[in-house]
Amino acid sequence: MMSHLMIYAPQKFPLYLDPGTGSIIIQAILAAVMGVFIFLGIYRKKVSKFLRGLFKKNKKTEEFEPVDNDDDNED
Amino acid sequence: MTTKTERVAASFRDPSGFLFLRGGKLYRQVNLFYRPDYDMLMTSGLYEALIKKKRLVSHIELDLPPEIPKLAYKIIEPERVGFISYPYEWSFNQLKDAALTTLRIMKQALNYGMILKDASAYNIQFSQGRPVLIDTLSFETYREGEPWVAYRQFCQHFLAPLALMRYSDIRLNQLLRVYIDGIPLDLASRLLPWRTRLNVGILSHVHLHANTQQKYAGERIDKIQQRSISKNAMLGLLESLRSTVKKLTCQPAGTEWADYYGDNNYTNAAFNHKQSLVKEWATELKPATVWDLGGNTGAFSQTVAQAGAHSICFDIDPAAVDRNYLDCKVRKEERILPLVLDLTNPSPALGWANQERESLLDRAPANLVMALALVHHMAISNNVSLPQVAEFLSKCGKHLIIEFIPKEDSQVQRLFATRLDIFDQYNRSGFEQAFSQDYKILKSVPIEDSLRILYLMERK
Repeated sequence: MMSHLMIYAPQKFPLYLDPGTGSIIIQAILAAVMGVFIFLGIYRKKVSKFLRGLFKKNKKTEEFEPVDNDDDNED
Repeated sequence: MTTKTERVAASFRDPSGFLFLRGGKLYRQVNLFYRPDYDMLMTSGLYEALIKKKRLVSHIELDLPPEIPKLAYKIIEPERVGFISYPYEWSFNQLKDAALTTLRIMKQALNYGMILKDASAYNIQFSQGRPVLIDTLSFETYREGEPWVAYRQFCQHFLAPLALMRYSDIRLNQLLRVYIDGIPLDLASRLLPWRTRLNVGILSHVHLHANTQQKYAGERIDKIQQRSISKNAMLGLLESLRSTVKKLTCQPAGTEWADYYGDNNYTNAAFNHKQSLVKEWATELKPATVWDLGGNTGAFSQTVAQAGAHSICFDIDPAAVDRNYLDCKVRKEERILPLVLDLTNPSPALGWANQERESLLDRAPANLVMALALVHHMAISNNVSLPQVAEFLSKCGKHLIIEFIPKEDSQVQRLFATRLDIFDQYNRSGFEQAFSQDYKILKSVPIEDSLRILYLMERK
């Protein structure tokens, strides 16, 4: 199955690390799957924010994401 | 007059530039090859953003003669990190924080149109209690669609050792000593218990990754048809790595020393007296750097840190080191760096020509060495003669605070529980005689309410 996947080859610029053929293939598959979750997550946040806005119009809204001490969500 | 210059042996792989020492100062030559990426790092706002978050060492550009003029674009002087440590000397949470920092930097770089072109654990160092990237030349322009070339390196340097420490054995980070470019994923996959296949992150990034590597071993990437990885897909991959790493938690139980202070024959009076002596002597000496050998969870490192010193607190027990690290994080302690080290087999020089990673003694000397409640372990448990102990410690630093624990002490008696006492010279006069070869004994004070003696010595 994997041999039919199409992968972008990084051949336009020199690499000093060997990224590994297998590593690039699995990365493309995982990224495609996980990218879908990110895409869905963005819409989940938007819908959630919209709904919360409807029900808490007069209340000060809180952040949907819990505050992460390690500032993962700050960038 | 010429100034002596020397290339830094660890800095040779990346053609973008290299580190060199000149007149005792550390510089980095940025090569013309890297010019577009360096300019983008500096003008895009990424450099300032990383500095603001304390995730990258700062640097200044200098108008100095280059080391190799025909290749040179710029000479920069990076801020120096106090003590270079290596991933095989880090506890679980240190490696985990280094991994998360690498991912945060990668995500931040993407926001500015750049990407990390390598993800080596050796590019991360602990400075003022935080993991920071020390390689200014690790960034390159992101071209949407292209994969993350450092993905494999990230998995080998960070994810595989963390998973092995969490699920197999905490001591397996020592594999990083053997495999300098990270733990091969096929090996990690074989060593991890089967149940890790139920963890989606580890299944994906270690087990399936290893299988795919094996399947495509030796195949050229340019023979495979092309497909791009969108930026969202890349963010998805990074988020998956982040959550996999973040969810790995480890609390090694039942290790040797983490409960030492709660399980020994010290009275409070003895502990307090010892602490006040250490404080008094450290305040007198004002050492900039201290090596606290066998420092356990760092009680005495704290004492010298309060006196203004930067202390590297070494211990053989990964649980004690991890506890120390987590405590330092909570206290925002910037002057203590806890590290895992077996003094009977300290970190050797490793890598190409045995020069890439320095041995422990290559990183000496410290101004002050502390060996508290330690000498009996070296002399009796490890059968090292007292003159050998003295010679080794004298190579570590100029001044020494050392505690002699006589045979009558219950901690030493425990060592004799299963073996013969063949140590005729292990007594106070034998100890003083042995150490007098390398040291001048400045002070010796019996510790109250104990049989122990604390010495302050200076290397001859």
